[in-house]
Amino acid sequence: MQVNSTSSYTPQSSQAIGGQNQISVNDQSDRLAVQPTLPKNDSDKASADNANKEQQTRLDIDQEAINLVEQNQAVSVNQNSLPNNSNSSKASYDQPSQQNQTAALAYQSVDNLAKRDTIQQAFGVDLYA
Amino acid sequence: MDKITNPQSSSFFNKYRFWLILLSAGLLLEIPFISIPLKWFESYFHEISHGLAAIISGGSVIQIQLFPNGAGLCTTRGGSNFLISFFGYAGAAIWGVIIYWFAAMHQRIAQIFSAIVAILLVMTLLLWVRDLFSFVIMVVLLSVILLKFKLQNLAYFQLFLQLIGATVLLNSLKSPWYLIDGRALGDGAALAQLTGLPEIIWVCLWFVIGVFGIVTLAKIKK
Repeated sequence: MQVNSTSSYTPQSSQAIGGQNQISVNDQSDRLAVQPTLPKNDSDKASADNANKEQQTRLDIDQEAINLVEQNQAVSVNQNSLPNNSNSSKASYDQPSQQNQTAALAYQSVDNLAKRDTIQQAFGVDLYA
Repeated sequence: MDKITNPQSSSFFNKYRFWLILLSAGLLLEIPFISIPLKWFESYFHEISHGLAAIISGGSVIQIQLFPNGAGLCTTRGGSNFLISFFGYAGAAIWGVIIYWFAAMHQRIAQIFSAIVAILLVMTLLLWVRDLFSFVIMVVLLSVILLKFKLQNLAYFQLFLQLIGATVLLNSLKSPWYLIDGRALGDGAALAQLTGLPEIIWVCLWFVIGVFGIVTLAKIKK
């Protein structure tokens, strides 16, 4: 079943999904890298100060994330502004290859054969298509 | 009417009747929606041939399934595996020849033969059809056969049955070639496993049977 869903991707949708994933991965990695470095205090006042600082830090992180997103968008816009040949080659690159499609078909046929054998053995009947 | 107004075209039609019907059948099979029930006819005669071969060779039919895409499945128990596997495609070609031949013999014979096919369809429906899709497809086939009886002009009745026979025969010529797909599935693969002869030999044999049927019908010229 996973093979089916993979092979049913259209080039356009996979390209769009790929672009979005790339941006979100960068964003998450930056947040993960910064958050563990936040300070921890005991007193309430100190914690309130820290909360403010944390908010500021988070704002900074978000600002960084926004910058990164803008950068990525700029990169993607540059990629889109390239000649049509590069777009079409990327689209065809995202398509499942002929070899993969053959492999999926072979996989499915083996699955069918196994099911057929199971039915034949279980019920003592023969199937003719 | 045609004979009175244009005897030349009528004689042309009678002279080349078989080839014109075969050509029309070939064209009908290419028309998207009209071709669907015609493919179901071929699929039905293919599966019923498996079933009849099973019964003749001492086995029994458990279930006959027909699918909307024109595929079919016959589940049997016992009988000769060789005969059951072989008579799917061969049987469909033979059915095509018989339907056309009986329809061409006489208008009354065409009616009687249609009634026999209708009885066979009803028996299949009652005995071996156990799923909704197959039931609906069988009802459509039965309706097509029974609707022919509404035709007042028996010449049209005859022509309609001949068209069905020709489409079944043409489909039986074409469908074995779908087995050559690199996968060891279907009747050809089953026969190859049973006999040791490659699948292509069986596909060619079924094709030859179909061609022989066409040549035989062309000689009858009715």
